[in-house]
Amino acid sequence: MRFDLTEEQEMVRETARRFLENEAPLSRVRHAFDSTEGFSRETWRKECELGWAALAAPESAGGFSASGARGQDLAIIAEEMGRLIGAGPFIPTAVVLDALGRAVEPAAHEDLAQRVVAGEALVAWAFGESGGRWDPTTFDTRVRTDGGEVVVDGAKAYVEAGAQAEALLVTATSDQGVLQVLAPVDAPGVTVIPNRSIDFVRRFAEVRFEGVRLPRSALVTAAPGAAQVERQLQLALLLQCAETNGAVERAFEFTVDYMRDRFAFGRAIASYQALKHRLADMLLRIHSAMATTDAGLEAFDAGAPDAGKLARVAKAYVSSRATAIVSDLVQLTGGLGVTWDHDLHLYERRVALNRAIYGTPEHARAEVHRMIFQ
Amino acid sequence: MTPSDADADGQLESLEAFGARAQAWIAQNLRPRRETPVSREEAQATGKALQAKIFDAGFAGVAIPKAYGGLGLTLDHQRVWAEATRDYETPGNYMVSIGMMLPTVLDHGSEAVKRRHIPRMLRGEEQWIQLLSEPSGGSDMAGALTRAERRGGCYVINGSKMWSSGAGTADYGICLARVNWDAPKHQGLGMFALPLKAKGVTINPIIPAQGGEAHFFIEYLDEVEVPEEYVLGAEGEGWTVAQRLLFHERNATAGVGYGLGLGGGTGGTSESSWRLDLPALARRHGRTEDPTIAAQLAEDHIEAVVGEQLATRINAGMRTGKLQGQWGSLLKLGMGIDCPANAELALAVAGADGVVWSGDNEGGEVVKQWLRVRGVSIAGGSNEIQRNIVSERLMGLPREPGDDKNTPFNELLRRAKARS
Repeated sequence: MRFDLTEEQEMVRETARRFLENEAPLSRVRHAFDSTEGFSRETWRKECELGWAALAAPESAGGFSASGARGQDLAIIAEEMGRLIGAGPFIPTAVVLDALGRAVEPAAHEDLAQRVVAGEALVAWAFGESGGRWDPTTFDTRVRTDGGEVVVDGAKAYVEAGAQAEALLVTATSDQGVLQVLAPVDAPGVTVIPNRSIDFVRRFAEVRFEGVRLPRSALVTAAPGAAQVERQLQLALLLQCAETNGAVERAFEFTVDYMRDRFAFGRAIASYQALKHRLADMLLRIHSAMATTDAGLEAFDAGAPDAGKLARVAKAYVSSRATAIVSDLVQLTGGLGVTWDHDLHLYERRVALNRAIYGTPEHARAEVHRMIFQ
Repeated sequence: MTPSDADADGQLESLEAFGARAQAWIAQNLRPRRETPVSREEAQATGKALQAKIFDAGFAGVAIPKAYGGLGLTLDHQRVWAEATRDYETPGNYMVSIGMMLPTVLDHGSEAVKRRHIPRMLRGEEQWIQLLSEPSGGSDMAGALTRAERRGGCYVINGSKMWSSGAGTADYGICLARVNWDAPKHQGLGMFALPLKAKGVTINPIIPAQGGEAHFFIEYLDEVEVPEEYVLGAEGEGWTVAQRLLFHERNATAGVGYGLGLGGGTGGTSESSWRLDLPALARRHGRTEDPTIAAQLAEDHIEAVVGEQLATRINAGMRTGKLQGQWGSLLKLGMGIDCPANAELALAVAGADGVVWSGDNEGGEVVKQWLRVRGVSIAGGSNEIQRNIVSERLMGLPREPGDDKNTPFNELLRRAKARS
């Protein structure tokens, strides 16, 4: 997290950390491993009472801002969630609220937005498609107009909280370009298939749309809506980076503490250059990861022309370094690090998940390459 | 805390007012930076004239107290100056003298030396350098074997120093020497402002592996006399002063602290840059879409971008006081890892045309960069030393065990001899 947070942002951060430590410690995360939903709706509702979802919503829907910079505010929560493998569907909630607040007719979705902000309703973002496709400019899922209705056909994959949400923001292709509609999961023709993920508490779903007919008022982003979809992807990538940073920072902290106390050959293993030099390199990567995430968020909040590139730079850097660092933390921890009872694998699971969702760092690198030479 | 002079009302000039004043002067008096490289001789000559011009206009030493010829403002003001001059010709050869040595003199010099020499350093009339490493050791700097003996009203220095950049044209060197051989190694040192044009100083160039001009020198010191007031810090405080000097050096190298805005120069492609512009190189060689290097080219760009973002972050941490201590080391380590990787990738981008060319010895910029790039991961504290600093001083991890901190230096030497 950045060093120059405003006082109000600092307060948001401290409150979030205290809440998670008290209400959602790792013991609870472990407990949720076998649960269907992964997260507790009650805890999520309390988190929303603290204003976490509100940070992504316009004032008319009960939203508020700690600093006037939405991305940077939201990233504070994401990072804190990362530190303790937070469970609630924070990123999709933030993305969908951002879209609803900027909808063609915000009033049409205000009731839902208010209930989402209060933690009473859950929403999900149906964006990715099977085969690990996250291209924000083209989808196999299509929307066409038919008289006074819109009709959705296709399939979405990797939809976080898709089986828990009451409505899905569906990003799709139309004859006029990319657009987004809000689909209730109980609309005829919608089939939600719950998936399992490597993460302890994050649940995903596949969703099929077969001739799903919705009223015109379901339209959230009109075609051509590529700019809004790109904006959502940037926000999702950057919040995911912030969450990953929190996870890596926390795993690093407890591993370093362990290395101070663990003795081998008569001294703390943290005193060996062969090991502590690796920790120095990790600290460099951790601060770099936070720096590039913050710079990406700043560009996002300012609507800077290079915001798209900086979001990919952050994704490429953060995701690939995170898995490398946490995996090496296991190495430094020794045998204990590969056991179920040690907490490191909770962090390995989260950073491995985040590495792949919304695109891989390899994908982001290819995007950066395209942007450098275009 | 930056030393700063407030005006009579206790008010410092605001950053905005200073920025406006600086921009107005810059637009009138400085030329836009040239696209083409400039020869070293020319850079040195224009640099000296430019530094004098900037000093005379009252813009040199932004964060240096007025009593010593500076502006008495803060490092934030210096950042404003650095940003305002970014696209203009600025002196490029004062990073060491003004960015590293001057603040060390400011921290530890006698009042007489500060008043006499800091204005001259700021105007570019005197160049100061460091004399720390020795032929017998660089990383273990506290193991210095150069000897300083007090005789009458002065110190007499004997020994040799190495890896001092710019010694060929410099006026003073800040020299670490042993004053007490019975004290443990860190406690028996003194630091001296040594006149390089004095009797007994022999300076020889060290030709770098890539050939061409020498950046570094080796000095032989034979009965060189240094007046007492030219001791920096107290007689046995040489190590403390050295730490401070290295702190300023790391900051300046990393583009923070007193070195801000001094790394410019007059020419376009800076020959001293530790990074090659690989997208440009790939375009020249028609390899922008080469699938064997495409991902690495992107990664190189990402490292370059993230490196700058990290410097911004560390700056903010130091400015707000949330980071205490030698965080410049983290940036130095980052460069020490990234730049060799950049040079290595340049070999891949240029391929055979990077190592064989038509014409004389002037070509081969790519492979010559690769030959010189380890300078950045060795000079100013090697990557390994930076990793010690990061892990031990920033993270507070325990040192490797050893008794070199408490044993009389003479005894250490005796033991080393007995073992070999």
